[in-house]
Amino acid sequence: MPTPKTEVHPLLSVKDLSVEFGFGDFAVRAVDGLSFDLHEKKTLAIVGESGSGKSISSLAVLGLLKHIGGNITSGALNFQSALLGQTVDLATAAEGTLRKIRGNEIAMIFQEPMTSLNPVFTIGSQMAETLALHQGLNTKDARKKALEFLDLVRLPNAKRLLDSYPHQLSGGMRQRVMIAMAICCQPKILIADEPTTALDVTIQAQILHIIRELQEELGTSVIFISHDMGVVSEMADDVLVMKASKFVESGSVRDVLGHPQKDYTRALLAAVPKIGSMTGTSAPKLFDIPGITAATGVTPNATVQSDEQPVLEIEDLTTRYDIRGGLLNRVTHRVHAAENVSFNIYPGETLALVGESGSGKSTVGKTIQQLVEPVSGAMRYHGQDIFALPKEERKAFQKQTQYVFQDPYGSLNPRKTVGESLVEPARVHGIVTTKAQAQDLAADLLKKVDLPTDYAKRYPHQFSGGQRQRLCIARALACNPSLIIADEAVSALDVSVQAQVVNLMMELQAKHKLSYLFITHDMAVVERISHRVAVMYLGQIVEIGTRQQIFENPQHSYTKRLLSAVPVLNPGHRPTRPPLEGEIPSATRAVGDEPALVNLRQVSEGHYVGA
Amino acid sequence: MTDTTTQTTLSWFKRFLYSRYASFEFLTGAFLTATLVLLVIFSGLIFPDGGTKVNIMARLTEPFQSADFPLGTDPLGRDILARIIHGGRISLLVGLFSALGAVILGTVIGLFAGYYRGFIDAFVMRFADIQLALPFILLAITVIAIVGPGVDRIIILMIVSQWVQYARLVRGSVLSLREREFVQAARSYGLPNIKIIFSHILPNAMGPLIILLTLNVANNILLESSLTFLGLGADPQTPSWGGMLSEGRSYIQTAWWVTVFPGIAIMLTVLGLNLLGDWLRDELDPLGQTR
Repeated sequence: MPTPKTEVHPLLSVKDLSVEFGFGDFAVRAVDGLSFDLHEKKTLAIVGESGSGKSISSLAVLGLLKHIGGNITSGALNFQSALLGQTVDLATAAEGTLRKIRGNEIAMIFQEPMTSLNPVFTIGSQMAETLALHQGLNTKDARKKALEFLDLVRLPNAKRLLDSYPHQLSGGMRQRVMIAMAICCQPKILIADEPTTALDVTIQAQILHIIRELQEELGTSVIFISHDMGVVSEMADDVLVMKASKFVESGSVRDVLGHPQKDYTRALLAAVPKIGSMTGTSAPKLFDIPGITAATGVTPNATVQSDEQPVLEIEDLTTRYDIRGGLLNRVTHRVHAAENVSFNIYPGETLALVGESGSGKSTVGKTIQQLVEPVSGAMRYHGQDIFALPKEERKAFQKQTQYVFQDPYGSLNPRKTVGESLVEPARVHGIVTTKAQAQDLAADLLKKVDLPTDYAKRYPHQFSGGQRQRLCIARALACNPSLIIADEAVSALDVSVQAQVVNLMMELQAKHKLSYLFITHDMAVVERISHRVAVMYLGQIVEIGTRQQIFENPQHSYTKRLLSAVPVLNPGHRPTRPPLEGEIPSATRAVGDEPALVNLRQVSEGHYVGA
Repeated sequence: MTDTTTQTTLSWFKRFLYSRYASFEFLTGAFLTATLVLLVIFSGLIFPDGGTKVNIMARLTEPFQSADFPLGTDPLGRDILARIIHGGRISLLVGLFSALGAVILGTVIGLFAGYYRGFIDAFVMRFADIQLALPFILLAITVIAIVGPGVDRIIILMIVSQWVQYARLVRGSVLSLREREFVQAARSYGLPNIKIIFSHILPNAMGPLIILLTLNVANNILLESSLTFLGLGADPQTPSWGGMLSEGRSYIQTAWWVTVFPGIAIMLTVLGLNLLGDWLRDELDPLGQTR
């Protein structure tokens, strides 16, 4: 329980809240005896891993649980309503009362800016709807007020935005619209459920900055739900940790994140990759977290000698996507997803390819895996030019590289047993032909990723996200590849699980001398796992070098911007970074309008920077 | 994160009550369908004469009056119960085979069109649009007028006109499935397209297909009845539900049972299949599992 600093009643006081889904023998308890106080003008962060009940608690505050089939089985949510001039128990209040409070005194920002705006209405009419409902404004006044709040969230050209449709805005702009909508009735409490998780780091920094400023201007209390400890450390006054629907600990942000009392909190914090924690070391390092993942005595490969022959040499790789349009359906625009990308990957090395969404990093991976045809460029595997080979032989090369996708829920066929899925690549390339061989291989692969061998008979839905990602890695190992392309492979996982999977990847690398192309936007994980880093911006590599060179001596302005936007886990520290304005420009260009190529110049041994 | 395997200590009856089978839709639907299938399979044993025995002395016997003719007789004195049970053969034959044929043809076309896109897709789908624009009855009358009536022709006609809806449905699923990561993953390790289509995409597109199939079986039984009613279906000697309705039409004011009982048979069959289809749809819908 956070100790009330003053004798003033908290704005919202939650006592012994329990929420269940389902009935009778089949009831699942999603929140179990949760208590907290939210004080005026304070930010309370609720942190925990997926399934810990943090979102459910916030929906309970909004009285939206019935809508998704949940029941508040015990507890009280006492809210000091200025509107009704009394204390309202949100757990028992009538639906009509809740409707008056919801959106007016308690508002919410959701995680997915892409789906939480209605695509068929303009921004203006969606905002006006809220204002008309709660403040009884007519269309003209509502519009004026909407404009005011769009200005407040620092959206440029607010007037024009009012008549735009959601699809015309980028993710960051949509999230700002969502915030404007949430605050336009000047709520007492703003609930932000993972408001920046779906956004790029530089955009995330903008949004966090806006929320902080608005809170100061309007005096709103914020319940901030997040799994990202860095973000929490920057945003929160008080922190509440949840695990498996239960309360773990709470207190001021300095106490909880700085001097955690409970083992779980300590483990959770240890699993968070901290940017800058590896300064001075050249080799990657395993996570060592008691209770979650222990170092196994395997040392990750040290930095690789570059006089060895590379596994893969990529030279001037260019991949573009055509956009057709016009009367004759001709190519009018092209997405310049990858332009003149060149790099080498050495045996046993991890090259991290980092960049924000739309930078073309996945396209590079997909081109190497031959899922996408390049426009030009060469790819040499142990000196052999792959793109010059006839089609059949190129297919055979696919077994040398394997792809691990981001979504552990989507990349295994739900209708196949895990055993079948695991050995399929080996079957395709004729490595395994009989049933007995397939079973042996499946068992062997499961052992490699530390899963029990009898899991082969199960179906993907019986596994957790982390286990599924292990399965995907196991499948990637089926053909004994020399290179694994991991496309955001750990981004969708909870931190503790992420630490385990990253450790597993490093162990496998050391044991089998694997090379990784690690595609990600998460700079903190990159610092842990990679030997070398390539930074991509608008389809081109703007900086490439060893991990130390990039993290300790970034040269390109975009690299610097990317690194400074990463939230730092340093409780009590409020970032002073200037809010970065603007969006990443689009890589879509009209035909004939070729982008200027970045010339890389050498700064030091192996460190190249674009002008 | 943790495996929660709840120990089942419930009695079999309680387990049944909580199982997916304890639903009105499944129990009623399964009962009706099973009864029909059993009756049709054993119709030869129950009524060896096939309901074609004419007994002019007993013509238009009222139902529930005589033990020989529990549901009465038609204008030729044929037992209506026997004719209904024998007539079920034609109805089920047409209903099942036309739907099966259409589902196979439509699925294969839809899978390829959706997976390969491009020219095949454009061609097939425009052809499908044309097909959809043709009224079925008009098509049926024209074709039957040229090639003559018959059960086999009706089945072929139905397949030819109904593959379109399956093709469209499957194509829609394929369009989203082909972008799913497990399909991308299969492509990434070099699985041939034909295998991706049949072993990765098809199983995941089955849900809606099965539902449309059960609905279509029911629909086609009705359609067969109307075609026979119009004289385009089975030959008049063989009992069929549609044919019985057609024969009884002129007697509807004096002998209601001649039309009403075959009508009830059609209704119960369609009801049974629709209930099963409904149940299946709920079961296969991931959201339905949270109930």
